[in-house]
Amino acid sequence: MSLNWFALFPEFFLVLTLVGSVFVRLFREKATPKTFYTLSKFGVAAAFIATLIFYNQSFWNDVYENSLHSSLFKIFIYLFAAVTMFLSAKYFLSKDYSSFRFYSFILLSLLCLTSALSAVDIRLTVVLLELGFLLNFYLIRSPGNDDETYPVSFNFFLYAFLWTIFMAFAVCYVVRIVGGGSFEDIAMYCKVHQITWQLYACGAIVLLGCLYKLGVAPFHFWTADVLGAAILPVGSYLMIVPVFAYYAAFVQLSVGPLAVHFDLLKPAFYAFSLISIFIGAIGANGEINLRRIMAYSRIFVLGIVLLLLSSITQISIFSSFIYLLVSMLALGGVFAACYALKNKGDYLRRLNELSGLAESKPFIAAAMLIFMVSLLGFPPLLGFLGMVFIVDNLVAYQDYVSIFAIMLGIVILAAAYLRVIKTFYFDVKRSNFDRADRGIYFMLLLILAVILVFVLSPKYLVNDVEMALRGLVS
Amino acid sequence: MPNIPFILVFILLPLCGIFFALCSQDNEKTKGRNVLSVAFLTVLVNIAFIIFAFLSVSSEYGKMQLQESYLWLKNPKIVLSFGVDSFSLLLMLGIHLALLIGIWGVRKDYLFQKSRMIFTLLFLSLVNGFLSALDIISFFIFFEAMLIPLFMLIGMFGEIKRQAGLFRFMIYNLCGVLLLFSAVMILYNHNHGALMLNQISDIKMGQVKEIVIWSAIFLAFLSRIPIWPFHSWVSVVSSGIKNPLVFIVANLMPLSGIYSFIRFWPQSMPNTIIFVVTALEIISVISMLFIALIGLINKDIQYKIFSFMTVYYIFFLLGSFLPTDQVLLNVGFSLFAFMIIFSTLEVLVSFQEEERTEKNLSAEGILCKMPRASAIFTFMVFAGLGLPLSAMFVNNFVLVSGLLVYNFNTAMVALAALIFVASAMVQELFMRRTKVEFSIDNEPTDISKLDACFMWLIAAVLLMSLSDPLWFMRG
Amino acid sequence: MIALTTLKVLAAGLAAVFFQKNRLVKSWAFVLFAAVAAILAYDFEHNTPFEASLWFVHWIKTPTLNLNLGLKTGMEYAPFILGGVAVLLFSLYYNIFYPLEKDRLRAGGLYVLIFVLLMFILSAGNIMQLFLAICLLDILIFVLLPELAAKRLFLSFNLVADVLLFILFAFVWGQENSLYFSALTKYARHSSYPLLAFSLWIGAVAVKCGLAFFHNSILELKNISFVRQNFVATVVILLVGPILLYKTHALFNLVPQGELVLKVLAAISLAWGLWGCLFSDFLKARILYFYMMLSALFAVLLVIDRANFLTMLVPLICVGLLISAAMILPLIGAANEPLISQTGGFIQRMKVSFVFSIAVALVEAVVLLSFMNSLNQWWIVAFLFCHFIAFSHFLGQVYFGDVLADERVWAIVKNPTMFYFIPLLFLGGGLSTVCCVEPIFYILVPMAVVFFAWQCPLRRLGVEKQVLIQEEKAPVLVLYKEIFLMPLKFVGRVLWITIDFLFVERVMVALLRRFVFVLIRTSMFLHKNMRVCGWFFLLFGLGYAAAVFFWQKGAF
Repeated sequence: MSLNWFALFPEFFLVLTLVGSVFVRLFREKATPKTFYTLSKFGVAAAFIATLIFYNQSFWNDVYENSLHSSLFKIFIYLFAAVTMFLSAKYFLSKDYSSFRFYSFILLSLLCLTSALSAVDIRLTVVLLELGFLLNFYLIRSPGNDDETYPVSFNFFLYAFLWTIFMAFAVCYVVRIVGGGSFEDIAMYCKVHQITWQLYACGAIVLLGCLYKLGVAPFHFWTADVLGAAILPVGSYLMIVPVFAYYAAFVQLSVGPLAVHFDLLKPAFYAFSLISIFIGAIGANGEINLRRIMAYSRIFVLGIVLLLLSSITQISIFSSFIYLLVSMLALGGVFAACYALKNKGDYLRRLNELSGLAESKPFIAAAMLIFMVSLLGFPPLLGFLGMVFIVDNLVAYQDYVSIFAIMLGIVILAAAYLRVIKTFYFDVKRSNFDRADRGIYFMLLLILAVILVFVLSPKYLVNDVEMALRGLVS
Repeated sequence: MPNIPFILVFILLPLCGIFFALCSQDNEKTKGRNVLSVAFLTVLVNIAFIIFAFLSVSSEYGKMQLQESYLWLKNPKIVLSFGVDSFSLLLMLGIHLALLIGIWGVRKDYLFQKSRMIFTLLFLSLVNGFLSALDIISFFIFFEAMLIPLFMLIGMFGEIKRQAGLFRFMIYNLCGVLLLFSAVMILYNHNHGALMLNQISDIKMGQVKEIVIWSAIFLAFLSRIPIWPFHSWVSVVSSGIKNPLVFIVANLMPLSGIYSFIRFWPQSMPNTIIFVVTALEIISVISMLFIALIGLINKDIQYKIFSFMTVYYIFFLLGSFLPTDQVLLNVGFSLFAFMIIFSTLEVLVSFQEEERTEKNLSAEGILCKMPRASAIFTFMVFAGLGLPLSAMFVNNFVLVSGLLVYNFNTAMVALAALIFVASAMVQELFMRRTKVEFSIDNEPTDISKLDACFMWLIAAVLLMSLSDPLWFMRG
Repeated sequence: MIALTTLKVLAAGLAAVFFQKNRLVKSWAFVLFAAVAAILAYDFEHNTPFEASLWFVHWIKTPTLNLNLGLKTGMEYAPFILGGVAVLLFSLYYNIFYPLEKDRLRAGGLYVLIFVLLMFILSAGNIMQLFLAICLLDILIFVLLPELAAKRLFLSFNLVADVLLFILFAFVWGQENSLYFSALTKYARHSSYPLLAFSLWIGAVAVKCGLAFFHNSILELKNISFVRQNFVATVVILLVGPILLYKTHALFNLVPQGELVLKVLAAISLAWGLWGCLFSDFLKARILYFYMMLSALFAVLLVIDRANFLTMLVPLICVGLLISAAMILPLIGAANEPLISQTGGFIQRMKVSFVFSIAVALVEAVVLLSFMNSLNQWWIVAFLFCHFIAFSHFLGQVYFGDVLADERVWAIVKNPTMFYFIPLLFLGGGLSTVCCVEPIFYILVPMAVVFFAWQCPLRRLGVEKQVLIQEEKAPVLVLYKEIFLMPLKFVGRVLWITIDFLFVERVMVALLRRFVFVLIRTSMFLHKNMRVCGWFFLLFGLGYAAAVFFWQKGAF
């Protein structure tokens, strides 16, 4: 059996960058925060290009295969990771902290997550996903907000480790029963044989594990605490990047080896999605921390995504991905804007600290406004495009209850966002804001430009994604 | 006639104005004059284009011309179609003039002028898109989109006391918008593609579905109009706004509800929803009467103007329910004059209120020392009552006639409400014109000659519209 | 030709209104008078109002409405035109000299503009033109009136009248789909709401004619200058009102008792006018009460003697102007002493005025008696009798008896300048040549007037001192305020409190707010402690998934 090493090039570049960072950390005396960013960005860029080139090359059949859709997800992961790393550099520069820990764990995390997407063996997939998730513990523990992050990271690790045990057990059982770990073997086995409750439980654990990592209710309980407490670079990374990976993994497992389990779990997913929508919308209203509000928004978004995925068809996956993408773009934009919210070097997160933002930072406030409005699905912004796909899909299935739930959720979430907008625009300024780095403005402009291009000509987004996701559901 | 994409110009020109406004210098020295000039010129140029467009269209109602289509999405297929007839152009012109008056009214208000003009221009662009939308998707896009600049304008510049009221107002509107979105997507899906507004009534659906869809659509449009019992949420905001430009923008929103009804109203009403029409009429007249009565007892002139406007809006809405399209052009003519009248009234009232607050005067007799303002105010009140000073005179006559034939009881209640608001406005006029002695150093200052000239120019436009607002299309 | 005349007159009026002069005001007023007189004289010489002519312009061309605006002359219109001309020239003439007139040129310009509108009212070939011109006339009169109280009352009444006409005409157009006057005849026959339509019409006519219960808008004019007061009163209740009645007379057929209602109103107006003429303390108010009586006569003549009315119109209007001119002489002579109770004994210093007043009374009697016929005799007699009593009582109070004016006023009492007598001579002479009666009346009437004035029976009876009216409250307004507006405001307040405040705010909104608050609190509680609530959510999720499986497999 010949191994196509080219397929591993993206991962290779990431490893290379990691090793390079270690060497720089060990042997270079003057290593500024920007040094590790520079290294990482080249690594990620190289991985990105390699993914584009070797998008359908497989390393090891039935173990490690690249496909059009896995490459698509990887591309988005790299893109969003690159944005996060760029902005994080500003943070570390302003704080004058060492960024080695952060960038190295990011690279490790990327390595695990992207590799998991290419894995077609359940063992490899689960190990990589778990590893990628457990690494978050170290990310959360990044120095900068130790009072909050330490207890949160401990709780996070507690449940993450618990799930790791569950997943390990489940995978071991499945492999033992099926006699192999490849997706094909498992799928074939489940089709042919009667599914016992034990096998069901194990498959369910794996799927629910993905939901846990995504932060979908009722497994969302760690999301707000982690994203709210972690330092900004970690928060912005965890908010966006892993979502694509776990979403992709969930979809791949649901259409592949665990399709039968998925069918049985459909009512549960449907219920979980509705719960997520409401918990996300209501939870956002009870928060005064901007990042926690966005965390709940993410739960809301993922609830809608799961709602569509409940009927796992080509169109529903496509629609859910488009919606996920536009929402993550908006959430990413909000977090990008958060990098500009500083007062005397401290990054602000509470709403009362951000009163009257529009007075001193009109561009930042305007950008936030656009992103939040996009999240609500307001036309003519990109969120509306996502909403069209969602509702069109639901109408086609005559699922009017879901439409009602989404609309109600949007109304409730809008109340939270209106509060934020009011704070920025209508309230009197209470504190001054530090000058923001030009790079942040540049990044915001870039995101806004991307939104504008996709709004005016959605074909640039939609056509390619549709093509890539074609054939996901056979 | 050169082949100009008029609709695109109408929508994009204000956006270009936003760009220039962003680039304009705004500091202590300029005091917002630059950005104001940009906004003013943008609106003027757009007005010129609208008039130019008038020359290219025929004056019939319902014959959509200057059509433009843009493919937005291939799958699902969404083609955004735009077009205008004389009715929508008339409304567009009226809105432009109303905003022009509003911009004139805030020209001395230096604080945050840039943000104010930007949101106003954004609102204008979206309203133009809304009035020229021909298919349900583009219609919905602009119907929803204009909520954002509205919210920002009211929140930032409206100076309303109860912000909770503003939130409720927005949530209420959002509910309406989402109802419409659901209905639009169901219709779109049912039709397997883009659907023009005038084809909606041709769609055949199940009885229950038809009732639900139409009810959702009508509820969505009603959410824009201060309809009882939800009028208080709208009135708290609309009547509480101090800034004249923002007041004008906020009180242009019911126009979007009325226009929506007019465009969506089926040529022949399906039997399943006849009862909806009756319910709409009942709610409309109850609202008219209720709001008119409250306007009569309320001492606040802003509320009086709000109730005056609301009653008239609902009156026009009743006119649009008449089983003939012939009167819709009359509705358009009346609305054209109506928008100009209430904008000018609001600017004058805000000027008086400013003087009152500054010099700690009461409203009684304030106009007796302001002859220029008094003359224009009186003119506008008379024009608003329907006296022959504007297009409202003849066109209201046509509408009342139609209503009396169509439904006598509704017409009488509507007339009663109109009389109540007229009494309220006349009472206010006389109260402000009462002769009162002021101390010499504390007399209210009259509006400047330039302001007076501008407003008399507006009055001249109204007088010209007495014969026909489309007088420039003759020959 | 009528269009050209109207245009010239309009130009003169606009020039007078917009080009204000602060110096040589009287001269400019004279120039205006002369210009207008010259235009009218020249044009009427070449094209008299009796010759039929028509000018029109397309006004409205919409799918629903197709109307023209026009001007006409002819036999039918000439009396009204000449009546209008008489009033206009009279007012422009007095505008030159009347001492208490401020802003002469602007006022003169407005008189001219109002006259132009009057022409449009008269020439109306369709209801819309009639209505449009009436409304515009109301606006211009509003502008003309300087006093706020007069404006308020005038506008209140006339706005209501306009609304009534608006609704009525809307009924007509809605049913007949035509705005020509012929539609009124058809509508009167087939009206769906005849009583309502008639009520609307009679109300509007009563206001426009200044009939009883609706006359207060005219009465309030007593506080403004004589020229304006006189012009407004004559134009509105002696011209516009009758024109309206004349053109819409077909609506009498709406109800069988239509004409009777008007006659009753006219009778009450006559009596009310007499009462006012006798007992009002304001001199200018008495003139207005007289006009009220005259208007009542006009209204009734239009009903009972329509054919002859046009012939009588101009002489009667001139009589009205003469009477008012005669009645104002004491006020001018006594330096604007407005109260009759402060006059008395003026004959000692104003003999010429007294003689002229008698002559005017004679002319009035001659004119009225010459037009008397079998149809209108009782009404003319009644009017003559009532006005004879009122006028002679007025003359008696002013010119005879004790001098009640204070010293300052008495010192300056004298006959007004000769300019005030020129119109009297001109009009009186003209009427005398046109009308004639039995010679005995030329002796009887003056003698009777002098006798009753000198004796002043009512004063002797001591009635007038107790009854002199200072101020008359408009009963309609009192009715409107107490019976209509107050309950309405009360209802409005109750509705606002119960529905807006209690039901919507306190119940609905509070409930919703409470519900949302509970939801948010619950959410916050559930997410308070990650370590604890995590177990709850975890177990719930796993348990739910298990339950779904077993349910699917039919285990339950």
